[in-house]
Amino acid sequence: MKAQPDLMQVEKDKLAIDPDFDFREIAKRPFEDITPNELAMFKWSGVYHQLQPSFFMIRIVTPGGRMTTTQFNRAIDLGEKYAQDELCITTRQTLQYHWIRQEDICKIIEGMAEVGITTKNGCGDVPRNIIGDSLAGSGPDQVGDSLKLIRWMADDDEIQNQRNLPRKHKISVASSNDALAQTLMNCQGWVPVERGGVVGWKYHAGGGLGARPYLAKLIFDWVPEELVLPVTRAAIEAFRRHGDRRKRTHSRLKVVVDQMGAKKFGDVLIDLMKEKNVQGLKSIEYAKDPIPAIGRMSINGEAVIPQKDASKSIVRVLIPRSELKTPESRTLSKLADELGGGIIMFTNRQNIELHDVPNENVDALVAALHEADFTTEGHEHLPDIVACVGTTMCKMAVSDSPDAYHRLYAALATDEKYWKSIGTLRINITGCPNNCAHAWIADIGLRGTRTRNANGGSTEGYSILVGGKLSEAGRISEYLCDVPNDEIVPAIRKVLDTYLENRSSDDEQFTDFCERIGIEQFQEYVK
Amino acid sequence: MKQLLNEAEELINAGQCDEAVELLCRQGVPEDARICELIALAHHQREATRGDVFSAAVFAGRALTLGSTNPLMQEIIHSSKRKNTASDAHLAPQDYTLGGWDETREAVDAPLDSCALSKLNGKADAPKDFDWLGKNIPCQKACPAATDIPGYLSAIYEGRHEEAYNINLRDNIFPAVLGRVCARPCESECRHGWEGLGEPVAICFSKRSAADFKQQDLVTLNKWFENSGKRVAVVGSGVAGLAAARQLALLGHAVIVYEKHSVPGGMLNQGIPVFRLPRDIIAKEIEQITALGVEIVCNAEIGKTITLSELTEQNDAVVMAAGTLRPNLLDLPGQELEGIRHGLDFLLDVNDNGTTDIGEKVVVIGGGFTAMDCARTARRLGATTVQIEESLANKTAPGSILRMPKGNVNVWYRRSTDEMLVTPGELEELEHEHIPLETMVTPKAYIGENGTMKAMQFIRTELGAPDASGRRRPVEIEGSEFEIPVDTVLLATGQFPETNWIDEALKSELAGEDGWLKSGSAYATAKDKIFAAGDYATGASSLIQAIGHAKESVRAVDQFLMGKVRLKDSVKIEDVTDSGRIREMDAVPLQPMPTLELEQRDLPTEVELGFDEETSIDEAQRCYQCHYKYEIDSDKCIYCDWCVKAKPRPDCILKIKSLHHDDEGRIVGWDIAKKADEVNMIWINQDDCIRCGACVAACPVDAISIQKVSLVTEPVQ
Repeated sequence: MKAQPDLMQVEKDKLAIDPDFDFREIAKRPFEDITPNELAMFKWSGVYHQLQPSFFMIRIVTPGGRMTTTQFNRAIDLGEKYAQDELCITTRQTLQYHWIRQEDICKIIEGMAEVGITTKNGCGDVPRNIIGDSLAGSGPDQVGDSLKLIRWMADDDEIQNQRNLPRKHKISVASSNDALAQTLMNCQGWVPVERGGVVGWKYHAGGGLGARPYLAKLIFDWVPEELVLPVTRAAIEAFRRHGDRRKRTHSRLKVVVDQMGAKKFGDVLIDLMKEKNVQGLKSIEYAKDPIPAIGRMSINGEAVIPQKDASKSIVRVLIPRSELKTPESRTLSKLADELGGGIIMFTNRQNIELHDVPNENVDALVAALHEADFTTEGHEHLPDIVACVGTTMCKMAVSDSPDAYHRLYAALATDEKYWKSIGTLRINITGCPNNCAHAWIADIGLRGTRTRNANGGSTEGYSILVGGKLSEAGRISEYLCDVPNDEIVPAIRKVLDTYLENRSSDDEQFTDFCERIGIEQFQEYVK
Repeated sequence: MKQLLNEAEELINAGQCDEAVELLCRQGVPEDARICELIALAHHQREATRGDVFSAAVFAGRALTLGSTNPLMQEIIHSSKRKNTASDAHLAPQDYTLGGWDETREAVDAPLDSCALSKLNGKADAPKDFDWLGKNIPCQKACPAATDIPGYLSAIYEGRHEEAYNINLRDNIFPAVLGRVCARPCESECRHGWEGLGEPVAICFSKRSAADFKQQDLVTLNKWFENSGKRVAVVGSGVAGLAAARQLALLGHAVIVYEKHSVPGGMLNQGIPVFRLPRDIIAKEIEQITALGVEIVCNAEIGKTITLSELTEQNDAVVMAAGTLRPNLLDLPGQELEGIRHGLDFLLDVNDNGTTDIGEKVVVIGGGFTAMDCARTARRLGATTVQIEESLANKTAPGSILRMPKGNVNVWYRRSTDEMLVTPGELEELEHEHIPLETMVTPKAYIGENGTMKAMQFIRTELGAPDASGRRRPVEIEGSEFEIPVDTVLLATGQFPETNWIDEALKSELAGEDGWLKSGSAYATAKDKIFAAGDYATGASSLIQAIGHAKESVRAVDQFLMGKVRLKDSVKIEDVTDSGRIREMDAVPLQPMPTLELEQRDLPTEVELGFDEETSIDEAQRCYQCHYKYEIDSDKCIYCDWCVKAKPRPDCILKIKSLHHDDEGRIVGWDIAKKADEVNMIWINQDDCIRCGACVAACPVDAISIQKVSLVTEPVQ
């Protein structure tokens, strides 16, 4: 018989191993009695075996990136007790603990569960933490209630129990037609539309970064709000059925949508909903043009943003390298309670926003933050660098992204005049092709690599990618050059100086500059 | 606590970092200064994994926060920070010279010494290119005719049996014949049969299936050259003579083959039994040679009707391919007795006449192809003396071996089965046909009565040191003589070339006192215009060896005739995007050859039935397709190690510090990198590569190319 494709090991594991481990039992088990297959399935509970043996990383799930101070305080307590005094903010608006012992995994999971936060589906081939934009629920331009949708999806058993997907699945719900919720790089991306006082949703699908980036296509121009959940469920089911389980590098929904095209994928969703007897499907409008048209890429660096509720404001805090030490976290939490609205919002640039701050408290809050050595300036500008954990703790990484972060920050972020002259600029440093730190859609993306050197060995370094964005139809950054790690500071300065010298006007943004001159010209400039 | 700290310290000193950290964590969350110090020290000391520097700094920091005064902690933190050493950056894009699976390469010289071949695409002919073929396609290397085995197995897998046949026809001239009776040196080298990888592909049976399932018309190959105006005579129409004739015809020469027997084919017709090789198969493949204009003159015994000298005068060249027809008879007491025959004479007699007289107690002496054929033929010739059960009688053929008494034929061999030169599977068939094999015995004397054979005396042997052939020499065990009753002895003890037919004028020039050619296995002889091919030059070997030798001999003839080299070998390199294989194919079991039931096994009926078409495809899919070369572009590679994590074999992808080359640029060795900074390249060790493609699937930057690399022989115009 001709050989038939068999299930890959990970697919067999998904069928054979219950992902809801009893971590109290795991705590008692000798490490060597945990099979590598079980260890891999820990991810379904948000638990990763860290690069350093004996330690684990745990990622919690915070739909929409929002937490109350009560929840945050619990997270801080647990971090202080079990995670070497530190929490780390992720690019998908949630928190990670590192340095967790096998015996303490259950304590983190149970501790967070007590304040209503789960780690279920923190990682693994599941629908991951549903993200939105940091302004959700508060921002001045929001249309409809994106947090409501996020909650629906996070609480929907049909969505959350899809735990045997071909690969991870990422959903974003925006609060306005802006790129702040990273719609185009998610598997599914919802954007609100208002027509004559009625809020419906534009539906995008098929975005995703990783090693091979795809930008989402617009599938439906209009989905009535009551059909958002059925469409989301149908897309996950379509992914479950059509995703390639043979090649993990080609299994995400982005490949399915790319191969089907927007119209066909829309048809598949409609058919799946018909299968389930969903009513009112005629009110769904197919996209007239699959090319998305998303609004602005980012906020413009403001430290304080007025909320839709005119009496309140959002105060934004830059968190260096996404790391929150316990004392700093406690200060933030205390200030959020005393002067803010008791709400903490994690952003996809790994920072924190304090929402619902009564306008009368804003000055005091900002002053208190500065007093406590927090920075509120530099958002979406050079100091606002995103970096993954790189080789410090991740098994996949090639380069030490935090190191590049610190050196770039120290060399460039301190020169306020310089970075202000540049304008908005997003630098993202990712340690490996998985692109957890989103180098593909940054103005300047650094992706870890090694290059052969003259001494017969190799040197850690970065591939510099330029010109990525998620606004309009989106744009994947292009490869400019490689740079060894010790040249990273002069290299980025050279790239930025090139931009400053050659931009058409002070208003020409970095991405527009890249698009105008083309990558070959850019390569020529920096040679 | 104190004891724990001491224990951890000891582990750290012994270099057991992970064990030390595990021990230190066992007590609880690390929140004691001394415990954090020790965790920092453990990671600091090792610095093996990428995270060690970082974790050392984290725990050093924690130790200080928790009150440590150890000055080393500050030092660890300090040393973990990298410095900005460069003041300028040289920003040039990487020059992606090799590219990945989705790129097209130019036919240019390979830019790096580390490249597997001398060129990136097109045709190459440097020593490293041929070396690559030899190491990487072990089956083709083992085939004396250099048959493109992966090429035809992939054609079979794709259902293109016609093309598979044509590949074989081009390379080994007799696909349907060899698909039955080849010695299969390829199979013992097949990568699938390497240690831990299962069993070799049934290459030979697959070759037969290509012949079985193609259109059954005659296939004539296109000639390489127009008529050269040269005439060549070939002496002998065995496989070597016919292979030489076919190649000469393709080169544009006029060829006449002289055969002393009444039909062409040599051993094919006169030696190999019909039940292994049906005669219509031979006739057809010979016809494909005569269709090219080759003339075969039978009943023409050189030395009788015409001398070799005359033949040489009348032609521009002569190829002697007269095989090995001089029997090696054992010089034993009683050798004059009736009942002793050489195996080849016996087989010729049976093949010519359909039968021969044979006794009831037959002994075959020897352990090679001829011994097996003699034994299995003799087994089919005995008088029908066995009663068949009534229920079986109807379906038992009149000449079936089931009607012969078991044990009437025995094979006796002086070494062990390991030293036997037989076709794979043949020993099993011997057993299946109830032919006892006695090894480690050597004949000492024939014992007769009134001039007739009655018994043989043997002596037992043990294996001593290897002889010139590399096989262990049998050493007689003193006092172990014994006798067995025998009436017929078939000697399958080898044969030699016969030079008696060469006329005196040439004989002293060409042949030595021992009856062998003075030129040994060389293609050219001591005399201009006269060449030798196949067993006649090399001594008795296998069909495929004779064909391979004849092909090479023809190159020498052609160069002599035309005054230049007109055929060129090169290594063809082609880009491909996918091998078409899936890993599950590796687990497909070896497909067994269906064979005739014992009831039906008689003298004329072929025993091996051949694969059905579906089975031929099932078997062909097992081939690893070793002609695919997977190679990493070390400029495009980002050293993420994902391919290393995905690799199926321990040594198929290596982190290399440096490669070693010989004077010809061939890669002959490497140094493994021990630390991250020493890794100069992530390198596919194609020797250990099983062509699974897991690395290509895992590579996030598409830095791994797949190319098909094959040997091509083309005319130089």
